[in-house]
Amino acid sequence: MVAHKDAAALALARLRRNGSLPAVGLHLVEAEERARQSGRQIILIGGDNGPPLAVLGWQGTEPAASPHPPRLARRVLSPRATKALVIVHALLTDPQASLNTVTTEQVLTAIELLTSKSGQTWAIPALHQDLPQAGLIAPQSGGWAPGPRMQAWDPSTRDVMAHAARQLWEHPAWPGIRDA
Amino acid sequence: MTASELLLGLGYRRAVTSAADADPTPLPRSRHSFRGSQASHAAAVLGITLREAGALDCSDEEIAAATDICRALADLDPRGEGVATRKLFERLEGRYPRPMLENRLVALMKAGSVEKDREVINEQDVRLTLSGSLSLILVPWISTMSGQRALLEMLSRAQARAASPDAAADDVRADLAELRRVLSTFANELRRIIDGRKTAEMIQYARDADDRELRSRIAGLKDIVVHRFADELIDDLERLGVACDWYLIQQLRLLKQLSATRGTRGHWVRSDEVHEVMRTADPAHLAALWDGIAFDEAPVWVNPEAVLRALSELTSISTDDPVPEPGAPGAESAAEPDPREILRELAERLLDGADQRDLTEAFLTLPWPSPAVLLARLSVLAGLDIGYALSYPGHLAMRASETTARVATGVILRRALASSHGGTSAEGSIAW
Repeated sequence: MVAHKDAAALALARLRRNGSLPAVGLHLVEAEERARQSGRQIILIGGDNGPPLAVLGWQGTEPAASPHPPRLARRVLSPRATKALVIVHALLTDPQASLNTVTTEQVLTAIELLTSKSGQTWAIPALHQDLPQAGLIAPQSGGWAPGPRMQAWDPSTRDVMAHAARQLWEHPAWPGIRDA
Repeated sequence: MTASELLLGLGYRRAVTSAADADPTPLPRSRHSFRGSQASHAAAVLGITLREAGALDCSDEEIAAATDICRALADLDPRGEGVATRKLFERLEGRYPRPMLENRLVALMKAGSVEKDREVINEQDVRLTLSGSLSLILVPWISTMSGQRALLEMLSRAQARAASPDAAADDVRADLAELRRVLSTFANELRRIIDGRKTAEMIQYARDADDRELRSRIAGLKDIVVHRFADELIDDLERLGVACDWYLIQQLRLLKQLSATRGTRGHWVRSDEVHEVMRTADPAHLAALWDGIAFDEAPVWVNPEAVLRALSELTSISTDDPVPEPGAPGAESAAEPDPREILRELAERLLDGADQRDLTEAFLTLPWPSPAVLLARLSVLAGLDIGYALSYPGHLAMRASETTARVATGVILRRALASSHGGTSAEGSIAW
């Protein structure tokens, strides 16, 4: 019994560290109970292209950083990685395109059409390092698919990202990408 | 009669002093710092009967060892015939170090919980006394008793007494008063914890507390008391109701705080509380306290404001430096007088109908900067090649005043023939 509890605690600790883990073999019931006590929740995602993943998410809205007392420091994406994330998410959720993955070239094209400038210097590091490391996107079939953290966003983050995506779709320079 | 005697006569008590003229005994600066939380709790509960709280100071492991000694004695010696200390230690040595067991056994014997079987020298058999067996019940109960549990115990006792057919109103009143005092104290303690953001204690309270059960139990007690003692105890019930409301308000505050921002609980941890929590908390408690926020590598947070800023950058229309468009004559520009006309009027005014005029004198007399402005305009006029020219005889003219002297180059304005590529207007081609 003690070993079982320890395994659940260990699973939760690994989930905290990694953000997500394959759900197979995790002591999910105990881990969920413990996560619930602290306002977190374990969300199961995926399953189509691999084993289901357990992601440590939040009950309700994820707490925001606060620079004022009581202070709460949060790790945040750099502004350039955030821009790349907004474009990747808008491409992935574009109802006209119905893409399962987006390529680096598609992202760069969208940046160039929107800003009339090349985004190579900042978008490529964001796509290859920042966003995959944060679990927001994941490499798949030569492109980028939604990562576990993106799939486990809380409702308010989903709302703001959906708002950003709608604004981009309605932009006259938004690329008319179609799934080949 | 002095004022103090008058007060005493009216029923007021004199302040407690150690002697008639001595100052009141100073209070200790702070409470004893205990090694174990259970000992601290038990000493605080028993403080009313203790001479010195420090005498109870022992670690939680020592308390557990002493309790296990009493349990082992009861198990090994059901007939009370005595157990050899060697046998006792052999049984417990796997769980506690031998010196600790010996030390605890001595403490138990000094307190009277364990005694030698016979008062014989070198006798090593010991047995549990009645008070020792009581400690098996009371020590765990006291050291783990929480506020809510104590309240429920008191409610059960008060409820049973009030429901008893032999209950006297005075006894029930005393129970209600005790309950009211405990409720008020617990409410105040809870308020202190919430106001002080003592996270560990908040979580402990929230885990133990069940305000619905408390509310229903108090309502049940009230019903019984009203049914049997409505006339005699209505004021006591009223006071109990006020204390109950105060306690429940604090409970609600606690639950609201914990539920509203559960994820941000970690950043409430006060710096002086961190070490204590790290030392004593179980893993689930630690997780609840620090989950993903305070210490470990929390996942990257997507800041909504940063998303909106990124969106603004991506959708804003590029504002590079604009290239000026070539001008086209419009209504406004047509309304403005032709600068050539202005210059021509100036020249005609200066010539006053003559073909040429020496302007040297004017340059010497006009106030500054009029001569410079005039020369600049006439130079433009000559450059336009629309029938006027300037010539410079080459002499210098000078006019001295009392304080200064002005020098001017000789300049002559005259009419001239305009060349064919001169001005664009029709007049510009007119020959003078």
